[in-house]
Amino acid sequence: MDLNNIFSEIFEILGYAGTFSQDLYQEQLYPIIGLLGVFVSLALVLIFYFIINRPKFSRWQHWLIILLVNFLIAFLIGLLLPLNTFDGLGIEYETSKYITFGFKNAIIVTIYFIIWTYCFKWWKSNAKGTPKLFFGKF
Amino acid sequence: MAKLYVFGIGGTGARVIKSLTMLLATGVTTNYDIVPILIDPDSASGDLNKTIKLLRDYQNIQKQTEEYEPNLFFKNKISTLTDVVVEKGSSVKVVDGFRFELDGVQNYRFKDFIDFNSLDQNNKNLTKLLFSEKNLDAELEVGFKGHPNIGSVVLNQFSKSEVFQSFADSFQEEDRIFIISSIFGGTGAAGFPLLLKNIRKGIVGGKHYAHLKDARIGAISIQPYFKVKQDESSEIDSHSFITKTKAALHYYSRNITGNKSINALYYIGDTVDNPYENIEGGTKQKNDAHFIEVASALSVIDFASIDDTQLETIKETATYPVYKEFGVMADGQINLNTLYESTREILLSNLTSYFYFNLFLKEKLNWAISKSYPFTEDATAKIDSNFTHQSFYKTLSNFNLEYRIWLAQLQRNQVSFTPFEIEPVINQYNEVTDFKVNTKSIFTLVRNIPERKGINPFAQNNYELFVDHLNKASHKLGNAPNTPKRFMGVFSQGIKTLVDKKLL
Repeated sequence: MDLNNIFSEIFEILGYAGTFSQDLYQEQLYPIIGLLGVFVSLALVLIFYFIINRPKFSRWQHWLIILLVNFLIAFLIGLLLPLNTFDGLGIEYETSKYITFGFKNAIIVTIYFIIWTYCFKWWKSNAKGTPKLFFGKF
Repeated sequence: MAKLYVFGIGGTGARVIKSLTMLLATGVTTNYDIVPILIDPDSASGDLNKTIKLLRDYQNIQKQTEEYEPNLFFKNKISTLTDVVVEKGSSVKVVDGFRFELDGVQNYRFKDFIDFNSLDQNNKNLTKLLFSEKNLDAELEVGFKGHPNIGSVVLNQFSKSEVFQSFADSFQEEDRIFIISSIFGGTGAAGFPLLLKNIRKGIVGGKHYAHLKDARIGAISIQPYFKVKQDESSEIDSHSFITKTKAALHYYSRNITGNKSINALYYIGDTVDNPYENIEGGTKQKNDAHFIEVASALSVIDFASIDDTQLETIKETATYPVYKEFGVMADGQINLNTLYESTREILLSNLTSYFYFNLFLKEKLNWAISKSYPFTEDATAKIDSNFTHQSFYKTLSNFNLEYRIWLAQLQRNQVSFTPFEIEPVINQYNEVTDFKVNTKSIFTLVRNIPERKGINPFAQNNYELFVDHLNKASHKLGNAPNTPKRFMGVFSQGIKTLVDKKLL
């Protein structure tokens, strides 16, 4: 199974958008957007735990700020990348399609962010254990 | 472990042992188990009772954190004579806590003690030659109020006591003895030569003790370092301090140094500007801590570090007796930079580390717990509000308050010892109750030692950096056998790297 199939499966869990989805698949945009999301969320998690790494910026509220930044970046990727590509190809869709896909991407990348969080929150850091959600702090 | 028996005679002895306890708490160590024995007829003395309370708190903390390598505070064991005797298998309780209880001084006048009324006329006349009417009528339970002639008679009973017997029984060849006394008062000036003489005799209760005879003995003789306010109604008059010192030194030159009966004798004293309240004894006798007492406590540490061969004693005579004095580099206010290297080496890192430990616990521990920083929760032994309500932490808090008061008193007294930028908090009775710091920049608080700053403008500072170091120490340490051990280990290691990075 190639990356295009893997990411199309993931994105389409949140709904299939007919020709818009088909075009994303055709133009190989799923793996690009998908991988970007994986790496952006990983980078933000690493920045929070190991680059910023300060007691003053280590509570769940601070983690939430990074999560929202992650959400915003993912939304913009999901909105602008298809928009620019399709625009270049002369394919036209309603703006709402792009916005919906932007939100879909943001939700999926937020899930990546949470997964990465639970991979790294146990490591040595001033933010170790943050956030205290789902599995308790430690 | 070999033991160092430290006899603290009189009020000054108690105060020096208090300073010694503070130094040991900060992480100063010796290779000996310290066994303090306080000899003071004044059982109500404020100084004495404070010292005993402090020693008990120290023991409680030390026992719960001993044999845990990462902990650097309260490292040196302190035992009571009872502990030592019990350890040797005897169940006799020889002394309650740290104080030797003098018999026959409670509610007794000196004339009752010596049975003056039952003497025949010739002996009565001889006694009157040696002791004034005031001496004979003196109440003994508040001490000897600067009269060594009374002290030497009353304290002689110590050598016949069960405590002295137990001490002699438990004393082993590798153990050492240190005697702390003032030379200008009553209790100390009389007690020191007597005690030394009785130890060197080596006969207690009819039994011979060869180890005791040739024991390695050190002592500090504290010369006047304070005056008392002039009070016509008081028997203590500081004008006589110098005269008494001279007379005692003359006696020592023949009976202590002259016959080489001591292995190491330390002398210390200071010019006096700051008169104390004239209190003849009892609960009100609570003088501010003084730097002389800290320096005197250092003599115990110094004595413990002398090599065995240099303290050789043959036939009750020291082969290489040493005599030492203490000095600082400049007159006036003393801080860590005006101390000579060997003293500075002992005090700088230890006092500073404990100062920051104390400051964090006082100002920020509850805050750190509320923020659930990793060092508080990073192990099964959690530092949480449960822990701060347990007796270990309460005892530590009490001890820490005493440490802060001690530091503030050292600063307030003359000569002033001001290692840190602190401001004593004083109550309506002019007593020091705590100290406060007037800055948020906590690494500028060590006087004359500048904070080390990097070039990164976003670098962590103050308590944030503190927490960062505690978190790192906690991670490195992992779990510990119990919370008190982990708590002390995390703070010891975290503060060590912090102080090294920012100050030393």
